[in-house]
Amino acid sequence: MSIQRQNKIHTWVVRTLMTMVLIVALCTFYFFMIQSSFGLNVSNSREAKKDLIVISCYPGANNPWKTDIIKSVADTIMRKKLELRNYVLTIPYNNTFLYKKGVYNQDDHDFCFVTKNNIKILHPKVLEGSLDFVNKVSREKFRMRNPEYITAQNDTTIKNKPKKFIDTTFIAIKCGAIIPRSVADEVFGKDMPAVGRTLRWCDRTNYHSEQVVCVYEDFPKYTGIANNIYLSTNDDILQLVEYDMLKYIFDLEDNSHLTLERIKHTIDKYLDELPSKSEYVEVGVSNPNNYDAKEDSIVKKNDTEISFFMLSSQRPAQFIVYHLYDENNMYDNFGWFNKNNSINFIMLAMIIVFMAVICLVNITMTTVPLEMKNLNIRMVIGTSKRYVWMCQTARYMFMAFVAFMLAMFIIGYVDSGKQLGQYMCTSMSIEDNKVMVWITLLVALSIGALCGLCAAWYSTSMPMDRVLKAKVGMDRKMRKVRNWMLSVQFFMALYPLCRLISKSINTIANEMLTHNYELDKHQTTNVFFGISCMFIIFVTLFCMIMQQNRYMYRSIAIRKALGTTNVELAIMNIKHYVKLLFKSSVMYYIVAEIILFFYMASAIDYALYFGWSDYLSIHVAKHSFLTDMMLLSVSFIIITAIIVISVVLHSINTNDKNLSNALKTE
Amino acid sequence: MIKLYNIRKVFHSKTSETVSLQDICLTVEQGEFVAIMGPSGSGKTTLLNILGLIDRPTEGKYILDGEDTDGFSDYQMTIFRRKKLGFIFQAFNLIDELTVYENVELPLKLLNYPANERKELVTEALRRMEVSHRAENYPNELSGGQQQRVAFARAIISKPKLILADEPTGNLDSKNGLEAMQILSELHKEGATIVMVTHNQRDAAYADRIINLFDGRIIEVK
Repeated sequence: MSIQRQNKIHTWVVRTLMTMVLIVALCTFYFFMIQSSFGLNVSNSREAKKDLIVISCYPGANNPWKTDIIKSVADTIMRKKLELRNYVLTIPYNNTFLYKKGVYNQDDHDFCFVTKNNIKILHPKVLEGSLDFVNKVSREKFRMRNPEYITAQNDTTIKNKPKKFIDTTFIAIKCGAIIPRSVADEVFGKDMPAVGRTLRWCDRTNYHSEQVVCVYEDFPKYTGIANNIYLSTNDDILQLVEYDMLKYIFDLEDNSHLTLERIKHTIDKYLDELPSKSEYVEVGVSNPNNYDAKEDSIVKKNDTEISFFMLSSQRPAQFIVYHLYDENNMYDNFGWFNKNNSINFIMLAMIIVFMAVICLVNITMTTVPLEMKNLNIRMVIGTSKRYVWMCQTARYMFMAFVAFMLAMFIIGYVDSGKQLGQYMCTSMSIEDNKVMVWITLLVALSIGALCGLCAAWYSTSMPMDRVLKAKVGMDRKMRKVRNWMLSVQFFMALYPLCRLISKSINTIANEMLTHNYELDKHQTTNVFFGISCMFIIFVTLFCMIMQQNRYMYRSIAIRKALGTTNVELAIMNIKHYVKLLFKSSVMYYIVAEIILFFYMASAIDYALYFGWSDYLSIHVAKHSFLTDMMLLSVSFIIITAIIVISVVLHSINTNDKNLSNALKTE
Repeated sequence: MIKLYNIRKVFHSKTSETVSLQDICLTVEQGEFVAIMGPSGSGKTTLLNILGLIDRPTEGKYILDGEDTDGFSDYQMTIFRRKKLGFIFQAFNLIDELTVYENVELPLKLLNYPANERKELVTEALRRMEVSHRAENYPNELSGGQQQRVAFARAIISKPKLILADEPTGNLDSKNGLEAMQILSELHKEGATIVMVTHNQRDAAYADRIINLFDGRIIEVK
């Protein structure tokens, strides 16, 4: 294969790779940004009140806490006249609520579905209709900002693209819909009574009709979007055994003097008065004491095999008290939409863009040596430097534009499918996110321009006469810089993959995840980010090989001419890549994974020990652990495969037929 | 056409300083054919690069076609090269990604010639260099002699005032080398000013004047 043909292939491969990297990066950027933009909008649209206080309750021992405890806490707070305007209990919904065996069903199942008999919505202020009509619990999934609707008599149909509006699919029984005021306003208009109207909605395949039976005041504003349901336990019948998490939100009077500290103090006092729900709990090395036990309650006990402590007077539950709108609080009630999550998403989007920039600049730089001579010939003949810079920049910007168009096409395609859309917080549609589309275009063009400028700068920075005589190339120092850049790029792609996503998202998942939709969203995010990172890793390594291939081409040929055998060359190559990849980046990755391994192992251990038999908690922990292990394995497979490919490529490049060419080519 | 006054060129590296040209004073008249000779490292190519506005002297004054190039910006140098200079290289330096036709057409494009005029001129130049039949080929599909003919065509297409040739026969066999020199000679007869760097005594014989360089200094003018 002639050197010109090789160059041509190299250039095309590079262009294709660049376009693909940009497509993936732009899709991921768009995905994260629409999520975070929607989240921030929701977050910002909340009232800026600081007097909504949340009390989250967590199980405190292997003997799970009971509903009566949390209810007692609430009652205690109420009794103490803490200037409450309103309070609501929110329970993240998990399709099924677990009950004591035999309470509602006589068979062995320890769960039952929510029905009007065992649960009812209480505290939100009812604006229209009556809660007596309520026979179902509905959670809202606000998908359309400005839905178009047609009204014909009492029948309202949402038109435009059918989207999930109110998700009631999890309850099989036919019943009416309960909607918050914000939704009613959007759909039926402010002047129109919503109760009694028919709400039709579509889950992309089927139309459903619901009769609105109740409209309630959003409390707090937009809680409907947070996927929490408002309900209160019915004292006579409900004895909840297990929850993931239960929260009270207290709305304080405007002139309230109540502080977080006072509430905490009230709870502490109450809990101290309660008898311990368990006599003692073993605390060993692997299960450090996470409980607020008093020093004098610790009793040492010697066992034949292991020494451990016994705790007495252990609290039956843990309560975390915080301001609802405290944006720095990771227990923000709004889960997926909280400000921290949104900011996390923006950071992820930025990381992806940053990775794409490094990746693309690196790829671009591999083409520079191929184009450098031609560009300098043009300059000698009379092409101005300005023109060269302009052409290079325009070329890469055009490429970025093409990638942007393809990315938008892919997003449109994904949005039209019913599989992914339902796991998103908001619509992916281009029509609904016009501003984000423009931002994405701007990002794409900026990346293109940056790549073009880098390439142009590097191509025109050398003395023309030396370039024409092929006396310049990437010297040792520059190669070192490039290798560093590639390592950074490689590491930048790997690091967030194994740490940032696994840790931060799964932490959120473990803390906030309480139902399948949320899990699906997190998984979707993981998949999006994971694919991007893996792709960038692949491209990085590929371009690393291509670049190394070019620079090593001649030196390998000379070695071969001097009598180095193919096997020796292969060993040399392997050593080279091992040095380049494993030494600098992969070893660090392994260390990170080992840390992660122990982190996750202890998480599972923790969950099992303290009786979190809830399927999801374990599932999530296991899932992330397995995902990370899988990613680790896949990464190694990719790296190994790339090394093998590189060795083969080097061998092909320096076969005897090409040897003379290689020696002639500067 | 060319006036050089006390030209000095020094290359700096981290550890050393290399004086490539020293005290070069030279005048080349319009329509003159000058050959620059000298052993490797004597500064021939450096001098040619300075003459071709590819490089700048460290010291001294260079007047080209009546204009002092000392204060020229990069852009002005580019425009000057575009309008008044033609280059012929030992390694031909044709652009790989362009066909023979496009290579020759390039200087005219830069000078904004209209398309039909470009076509006429390129066709004529290729015919004159006897490579018309290769117009649609890429440089790597041509022999060395043919590539150099294309390079000649590209150098003369815009009728430059000064043609700079850097060892034009260096990569050619004797037959092709002879033909190349005959072409240069013809161009000279037509009135072109030519400055040629060469190692070859036979090629230098075509010139009106031979300047010998040694260690960056002019030691002899024949």
